[in-house]
Parts: sequence; C-alpha cells; structure tokens
Amino acid sequence: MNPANTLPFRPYISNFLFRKGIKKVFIFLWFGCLSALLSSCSKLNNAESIQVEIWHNGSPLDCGAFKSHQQVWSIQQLAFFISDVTLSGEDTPAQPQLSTTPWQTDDVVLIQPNLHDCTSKSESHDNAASKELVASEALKTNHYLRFAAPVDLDASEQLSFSLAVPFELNHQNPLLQASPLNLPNMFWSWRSGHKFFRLDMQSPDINWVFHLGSVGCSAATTMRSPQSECVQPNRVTFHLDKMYTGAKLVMHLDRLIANTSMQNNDSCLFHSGQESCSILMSNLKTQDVFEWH
Amino acid sequence: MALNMYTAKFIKVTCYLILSSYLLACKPAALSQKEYAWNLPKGFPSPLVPKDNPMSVAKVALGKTLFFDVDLSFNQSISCASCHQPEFAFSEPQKTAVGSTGQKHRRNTQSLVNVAYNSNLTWAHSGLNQIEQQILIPMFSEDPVELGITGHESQVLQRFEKQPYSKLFEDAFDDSQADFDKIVKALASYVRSLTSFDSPFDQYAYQSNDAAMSDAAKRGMELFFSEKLECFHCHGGFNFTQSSQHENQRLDLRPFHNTGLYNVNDKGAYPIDDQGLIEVTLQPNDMGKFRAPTLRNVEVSAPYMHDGSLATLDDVIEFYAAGGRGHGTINPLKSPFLTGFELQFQQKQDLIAFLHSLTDRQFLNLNLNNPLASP
Repeated sequence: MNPANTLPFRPYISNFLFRKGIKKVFIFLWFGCLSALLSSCSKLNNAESIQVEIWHNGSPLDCGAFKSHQQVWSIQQLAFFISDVTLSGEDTPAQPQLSTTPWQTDDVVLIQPNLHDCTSKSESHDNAASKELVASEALKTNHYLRFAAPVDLDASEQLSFSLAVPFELNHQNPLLQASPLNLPNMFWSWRSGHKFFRLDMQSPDINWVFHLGSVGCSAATTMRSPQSECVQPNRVTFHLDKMYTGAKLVMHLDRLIANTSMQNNDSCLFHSGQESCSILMSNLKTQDVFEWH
Repeated sequence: MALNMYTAKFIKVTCYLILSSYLLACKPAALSQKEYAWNLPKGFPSPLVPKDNPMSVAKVALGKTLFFDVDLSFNQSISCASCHQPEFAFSEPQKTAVGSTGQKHRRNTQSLVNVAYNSNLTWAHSGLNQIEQQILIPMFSEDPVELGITGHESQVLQRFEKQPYSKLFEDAFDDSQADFDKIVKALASYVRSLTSFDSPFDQYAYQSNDAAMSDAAKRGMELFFSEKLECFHCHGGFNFTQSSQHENQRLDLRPFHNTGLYNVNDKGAYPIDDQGLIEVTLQPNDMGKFRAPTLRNVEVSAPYMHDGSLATLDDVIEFYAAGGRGHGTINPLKSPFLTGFELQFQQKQDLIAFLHSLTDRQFLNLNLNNPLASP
C-alpha cells in the first residue's frame, strides 16, 4: 500500500519545508516583519491621544525633582492649559474636537503630569489596591490630550496650540463652569481669569514660582468679568513641526527656566516690574520649550 | 341602545378600576426615602455624597438630634455641639478643644460650615476625605479622649434604644435599632446639610447685587485677591479653601501649606507636639503643613490657626504681613506666597471689612435655637 495514499498531504509539507522551503519560510518571515513594521508605523493614523512628557536636560523627568542652578528642586505643582489645538498636513488645518473628561472641556485641556515624590519607592500592590491607586491617580494627574474621535497623526505635519484658556471662557463664574475650568488653584478671579501655566518649585533654601495668565484686565472689581480683552492677554501660541511619530508632546523644563537666576525674589507672578517674567515669556516664545515628538 | 348602555357602563367601570389602581398604588414614600433638598443658591453645585449614605430628610433630622445630645459622650458630659457651637459657625471661642474627660486636644476646633465640600478633613490629613471616617475620631479616639465611647459602646447605645430615638431611627433607616453605623451616617448627613452661601460677599459675587458689600469691603476684596497679599492662593475657590470638591469638580487637590508659624530648629521644624501633615505622610517636605480652612464666617470663628495661637483677625493680618512669626519668617519650608506685605491702617480695616462680609447671618441665626441637652 502506498503510504502517500493514506497521508496525501505529507509530501506537500515536505515540499514546502525542504525543497524551496527555507526560502519560502524566509519570505514568509520577511512579510511578517514588514507588515508588523508597517502596522506599528501606521497605528498613528488612528490616534486617540497625544501624550505629554516633561523633560529636563534632554531626558524625561520620571519624578518631581531635578538639579538646576546649584540646587535640587522639587516640583510642588506643574499644570497648564492647552487650547486651540490644530493639526496641519497637506490638507487644510483641522481643529480636532477634544473629548469631555474631568480634565477637558470645551476643547480646553488641563495638563498636570504625574511627577511623584522621588523618595517614595514603588511598592507591589494587590490587584484591587492597584486598581484603586490607578483610579485615584486619574483624579490627581493628567498627561494626555485626548481626542473625541481618532485623528490621523501620520498625515499631520504640524501641531499648533495656545498655552492658555480662550478669552470667552477665561473670565466666567468658575462655580458654573465645567471641570477643569472650576479648579480654584488654577483660577485668579473673574477679572484676571485663569492661570494658564503654573509651576511651583521648592529647593531646600528657596521657593520659586511661575504663574502665567492675562494681566491688565478691566472690570469694576475683581469679582466682575472684563468685557474686552486684557491689555496683556499673555496667550502664547506654539506651531510645532513633527519630529518623529507625533505621539508625544514634550515640554523642556530646562529651556523654560534658562537665563533666570532662580532666587526667591526672582519668581514671576506677573506683578508689575518682575524681570523674570519677561525672561520666562521670551523663553516660551523663542527657546523651543515645547516640541512635538 | 341597550348595548350602548352596557358599553358605557363597562367603560365607566374600567375607568374607575384603572383610576383606583393608580390611587391605591400611590402609597406615600417612606420617610427614609424622602429626598433631601440642598439649601443652595440657584446654579450652585451640590456636594459629593457617598453612595452608601445618600442624604435624606429623616437622616438629617436624626443626625441633628444626635449632634446636640450629650448622651453620645460616655459620661454624658459633652455633645458634638459642645465644641462645634452653632453661634460660632460650629467652632468654639477657645484656643484648643477639651474632651469629655477634661483632656485637652492639641488643635483648635474647626468650623463645620460647608464641610460637605471638603476634599480633605481635619487640619492636616491627606488621606481623610470622607466625613463618615472623620466622625469616628471624635467618637472613639482614646488619645485625646473626645466623646470617649471606646470601652463604653453598649452603655452608650442603650441610651438610644428609647423614644424619641426609636422613631427617629425608624424614619431614617426603616429600623428602630440604634447602632454606630447608623449614628455615624446620620451625623454625617447632618453636618453635610450645614451649607452657608448667603453672606454679603455671596450676594455681591454670585447674585450680582452691587449694593450687597460696603465700599470698604470691596476695597478689602481687591487686596485679598491681589498678588501683593496673595491671600486667595491658599484661601481660593467659592469656599475660600483649596480643598473643595463638588458634583462638577472631582479632581483631587493638595491643599496643605506651611505658613511660617514656627521654626524651632531653623530647618523649618514645628514643635514636636504638632508637626502637621508630615505626621501622616512622613515626607520631610510636609513639615508644618496644614490645610487652609474656609474663611466663611471667619469673623465668628476666632481664635485662629491650627493651635488657636492667633486671637483676632487683626493678629492674623499682622502675622501674614510679617511673613510668619519669629523664626517662622525664615522657615525654608514656608509657602512661597507668604513673603509678607505692608498695609496702611485703612487698608487693614478694609481687609477686615472684607473678611466680615463673608459672615452669613442667616446661617448663624438658623442654627441658634438648638438646646445643648438630651432630647
């Protein structure tokens, strides 16, 4: 009895594996690798978010402390608003809608990155505890800009945004506004509106603060809204060319604080005549503080 | 014709039946289910309430009775209201509290005004964010003893197994049996109900009534919200404390600050008997950090600070003008917003006038007539 009759497929397998088999296996592997590569490259044609990272001296900060100006600084708070997000490619620029979350409303997002205490060690948690931890972290930190519908970052070459809250949303009753536009620590008053950018830092000897927002706003009192734009709106707009895949928006902390002396009296809260404010504003405008990676 | 008459009767009977079935089904809602209506101005967000302890009219009523009842302390000497006195916005006019055995508490009694909105409770505890958890401290703490229930649980509970409590518990929980879980839930519901938003400032800021505040208070308001004084950086938001959450605001803030009240070793240390948040977090940077309390009704909640060490609003303004007290002014851990400032006499009066405009007389009067005794 011819064994080939009982197992008719066996010769085909051996054909595949041993005659031109090796070649075919390699061709198969090549296709596999290529398709994996292509799919990994092209996954950003369907991006739901852009991740925000804080860098210092060319690498990401993984906790809230760094060395600069002969001091070790710990970040007490770092938070900023982003609005008017625009993506431009070959097509006309598009303003993707942002989803509504406790961190995003009316296409304004508050970024407050997770810069935990550098001295605390990560501990292993059981599943329930770690889930709870993740849930509580989600209410403390946000390092994503989330789109309402997936966007094609591959086709986008430039990301533009304003480091600010738009005027029409900036001076409203915070009690009646949606989160995150009702956070007291990011709000000055009806008249002055929100702090667009807030960085509070502490070294063993010095406290240093940068609060950016509109100044020169006219209203009857601090509890009334201005009817027209403030003298210095202080809304900085960024137009960032895409450097890599576009998955990350990087903020370079060292470039922001460059050329400042970082002394107690060098903080910038937009009082009149604070020299550090003009340095910091100039850095924001000229020092590539933000990059689109 | 006969058929028509029968049809008409049939329709009538059917209608009666349907109507009566609706009426019979309309049993009045049990008192325990009766929803609580927050006493808030239009548009104000409601506080967050834990799912396992929803507000109800009956729970608030039971909680209020318990709050003023000395039977809740093991030796029937004090009630919650002995320290949280309504006429002082539920704080008390002495430096630090004294418990049922006479033992002194190290901290000043905090006002309970709008406590439902607090994202953190007590003077310095980053992990304590639910009133139900906090209430366990005055009830069961052994050091210092406050109500002193620990070791006397059944003795205390027995006092609530009679009228009027049986009915109050029945109304609130559909169960007349008193237990500590129900007591805590009812007390929490009552203190959540203590909302106050009818001060002259509220009428000016939120109701657009330009005449509600005096000119002096308006000038003081400008100072309060200025970058020169920086008061609002810590006493921010509608509750004049950063520590607020509500139905539209669930994000977690960290509202603790070192104000330079002490500096015993020039490295920023506070006296060993009370060092603030560091006791809970063990983080060196949290030395001397305390929660910024609400300034609502601050006119009547003297003395001030966590240890009651500043007697008057005048003293408080002097303290912040100096950027701290004694060596505290150079406390390296002091908040960057407390660099000190200079005020002229009139400016100081204006600032005090503003702080007085945060007094809600209606709230204070509403809660005045409660007896400090067993019902």
